[in-house]
Amino acid sequence: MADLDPVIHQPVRLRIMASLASLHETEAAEFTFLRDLLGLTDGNLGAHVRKLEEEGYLSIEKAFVQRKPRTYIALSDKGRKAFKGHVSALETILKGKD
Amino acid sequence: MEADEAQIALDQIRLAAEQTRRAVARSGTGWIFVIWGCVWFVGYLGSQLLGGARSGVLWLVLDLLGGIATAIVGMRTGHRVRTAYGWRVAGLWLALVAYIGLLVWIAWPMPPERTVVFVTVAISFGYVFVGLWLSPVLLWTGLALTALAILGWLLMPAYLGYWIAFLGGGGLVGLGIYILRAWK
Repeated sequence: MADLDPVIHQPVRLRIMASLASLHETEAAEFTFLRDLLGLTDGNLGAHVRKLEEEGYLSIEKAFVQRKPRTYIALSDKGRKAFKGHVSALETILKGKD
Repeated sequence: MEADEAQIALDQIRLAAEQTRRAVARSGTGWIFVIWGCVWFVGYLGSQLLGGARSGVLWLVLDLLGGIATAIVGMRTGHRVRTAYGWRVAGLWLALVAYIGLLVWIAWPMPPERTVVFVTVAISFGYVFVGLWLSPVLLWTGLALTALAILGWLLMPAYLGYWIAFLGGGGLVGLGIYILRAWK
């Protein structure tokens, strides 16, 4: 049985991971898109993204789109695996109730 | 952790995933349905009223305008989520339109209503194909448009242009407006 991941378990980081996990493996979300979607401030999202990046759960890429700087965030393979494990642990806890 | 907390966490995951997919879909899909619904409405009405070469010119102009408008929507909204599929989907539609033109040319001459139903079903196939790949909304739209075209062709071939303009084009505009308003 997979264990709960304390880094992902934090509510904001859980939503960030869930949002990114819902994208296709070839897709990456722009920083402001994620900020608006989750109703966070730049600073708040930035801090949580940094934490997840330190764990190796996210891959971050900076690019210029129509001459504007954009930051694209995606789950890394390690992050996708960790998120699946976390969801699996939550489901196991839930099943244990029945 | 208690089971109730696990349930809350799983609900948050489901909600965040759902909001993300809808935000991605809403950003472009709604407007693209509206644009192509208008193209269908004017184009099929033109096919019914003008007929012949003039409707062909009208379709060329409308497809060009629809393509430009779609590209603008794509550029304005596409940066929010970067995807490897964007150019492939655009390429697929361009290839489909080119092949439909080629097939109509090979099969020419065809009765006007047969040309209309042939092109409509072929474009609907594009919706089904992309839908199977990316989105159930496109899949069901494609199937509905196919059924609509076949039904109109069988029931009232003389008024097929009106039928597809109002039900097909109008339906696409309605679906686009629904997506823009409901997927929040």
